[in-house]
Amino acid sequence: MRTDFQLIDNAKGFPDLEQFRSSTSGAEVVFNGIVRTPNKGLEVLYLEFEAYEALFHNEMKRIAESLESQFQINTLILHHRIGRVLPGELAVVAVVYSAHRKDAFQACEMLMNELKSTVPIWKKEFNSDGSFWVSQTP
Amino acid sequence: MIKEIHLFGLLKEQYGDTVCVEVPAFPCTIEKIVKNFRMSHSEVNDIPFLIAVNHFMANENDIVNENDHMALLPPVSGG
Repeated sequence: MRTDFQLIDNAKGFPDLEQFRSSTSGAEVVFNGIVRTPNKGLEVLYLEFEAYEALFHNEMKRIAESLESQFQINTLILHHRIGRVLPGELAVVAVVYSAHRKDAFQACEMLMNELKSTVPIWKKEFNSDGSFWVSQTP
Repeated sequence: MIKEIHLFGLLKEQYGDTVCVEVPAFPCTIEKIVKNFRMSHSEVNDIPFLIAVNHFMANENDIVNENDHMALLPPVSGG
């Protein structure tokens, strides 16, 4: 399984998917996470993302091994922005290539669930009423 | 003896990039270090966090040495 996990500080760092396509992957599932506004009735001005890079790579490796044990995956990609991201901009791109769509869909969903629950990335929302750290887990 | 602990997110905003916690000796359990951290930073008790040692997730029963990299991880929120 090929993997590509990156923390990127600008939108140019998102993957060029053409280089990952191959005749052995009949399915390419892409999840694009976009900064949304409003949130809870307040206008979102921007998000600030912070990450613990060394642990990010170790956790992504662990998640990839878990996914590979459950699904047929040819390539697994996750690129996440750090720093300031404005509404309408991409915050994260997750991509799974598999021979078949079922594995690709399921693996991509599980990848995003794991990202939100265990991967050391933190998000602070700045809105029209102030700012707060978004807390999901633990 | 002193253990330096790296902080992220909300904890980093409140206390800075690192904090120093007194420990009786090395090696020391994470549980003991965390207990001392909470005692010296009582307002942190409302914030849940996980622990990483040498860039891998750890638990409170694990042992830490003086030169190990230790970090406290408040609730994550990627995506």
